[in-house]
Amino acid sequence: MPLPSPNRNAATLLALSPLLAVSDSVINALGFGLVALLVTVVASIPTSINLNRYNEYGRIAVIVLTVAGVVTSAMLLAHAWFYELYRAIGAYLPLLIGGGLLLSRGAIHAQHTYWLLFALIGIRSGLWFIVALVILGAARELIGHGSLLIGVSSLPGSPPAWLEQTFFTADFGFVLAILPPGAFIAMGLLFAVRNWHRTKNA
Amino acid sequence: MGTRPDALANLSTRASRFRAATLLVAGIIGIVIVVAALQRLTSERIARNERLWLIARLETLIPPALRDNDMYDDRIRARSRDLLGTDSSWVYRARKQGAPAAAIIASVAPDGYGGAIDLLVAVDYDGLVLGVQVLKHRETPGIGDGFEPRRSSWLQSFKQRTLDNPEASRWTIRKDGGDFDQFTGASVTPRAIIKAVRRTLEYYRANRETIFNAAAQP
Repeated sequence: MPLPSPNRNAATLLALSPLLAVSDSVINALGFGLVALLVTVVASIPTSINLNRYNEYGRIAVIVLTVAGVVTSAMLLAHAWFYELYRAIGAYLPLLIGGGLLLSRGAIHAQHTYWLLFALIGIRSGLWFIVALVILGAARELIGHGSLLIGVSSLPGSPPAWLEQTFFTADFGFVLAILPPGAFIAMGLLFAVRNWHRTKNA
Repeated sequence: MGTRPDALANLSTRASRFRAATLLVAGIIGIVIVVAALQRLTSERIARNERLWLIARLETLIPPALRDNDMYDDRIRARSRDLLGTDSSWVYRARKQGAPAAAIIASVAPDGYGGAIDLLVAVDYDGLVLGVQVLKHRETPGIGDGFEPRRSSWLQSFKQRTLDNPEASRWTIRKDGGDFDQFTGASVTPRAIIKAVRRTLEYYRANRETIFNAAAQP
């Protein structure tokens, strides 16, 4: 799902808006990001194969249907095979459909639709997605809960529980960070850092 | 695959539009078939995951010394909207050598801050609370979720309580003149849970014989 414009990363970050609910802890963000990466890559292949038969409107339909089908399949698979992860993030997975559509706006106008290119761009978008989500998740969890990596043992592969660190008790945390307004504030700060970095290097 | 920019120019003809529409419909049918097949394939494993999760919860509530039956299968439906907060919930029975030992009642506190709170209340045969767990809730994180085990041991304060300990008027938060702590900044949530636990105990007292004598409805 390629984005040929120079605002690629800005659009990637914007696509995060529906998904801020899941960024309130590192583990939720990481688990969700991994599923999002998988969905992005898997969905990009049938999308690329089908796109050049359709005009713009048809392409929108194809993208929405493909992403919806892939996300629904991912939900079923997670519910069956990664139950602990599903308990943590399952309620938010349908939001990926909206996010996927936002990410693939560029595909609607693309002239070239080579499947491998789509898949690679999908991987790249997905990885940036994970990075941004995990940064948000770490910041919000640290400020809001005073901990990091709580729940790590529920990820597939069972990482050891000693990775979970608590720095101060939950009562002391700044609760706003883990509520929805805090999510938007955090994302705004992330944008600010990114813009500052860009203008500095311009 | 490939680069065919002139393919786009041809899409305005009626034949190619028809072809595109047909492909789209075929695609929709294909997706529906794939998802439906996947749903069939995973439904058994999903049901098993849900069941095992609930069984694990049931088993932590009642110490193994008190039971030797399969609580999940030895369950009955309970219908009491007034006392259990919902029209249809379950009571899981624990027995030792055939004799009734304890029960776990699934009830609902409908007046939580963010909506209904699903509870499991475990009582021994005489109505002494063995434990309370929250299965699902939508309380405000950081404020209303102070009952969660990772945040505090508030739910433990229900253990060893009965309908008479404390007396009825003290079955509420300290702020209202009762015996139960509330967690910082929240009173709606603990009030809702305390009321629901008490109503569950009343349900148990009123229906104890029925609970243990009814046939299992797995």
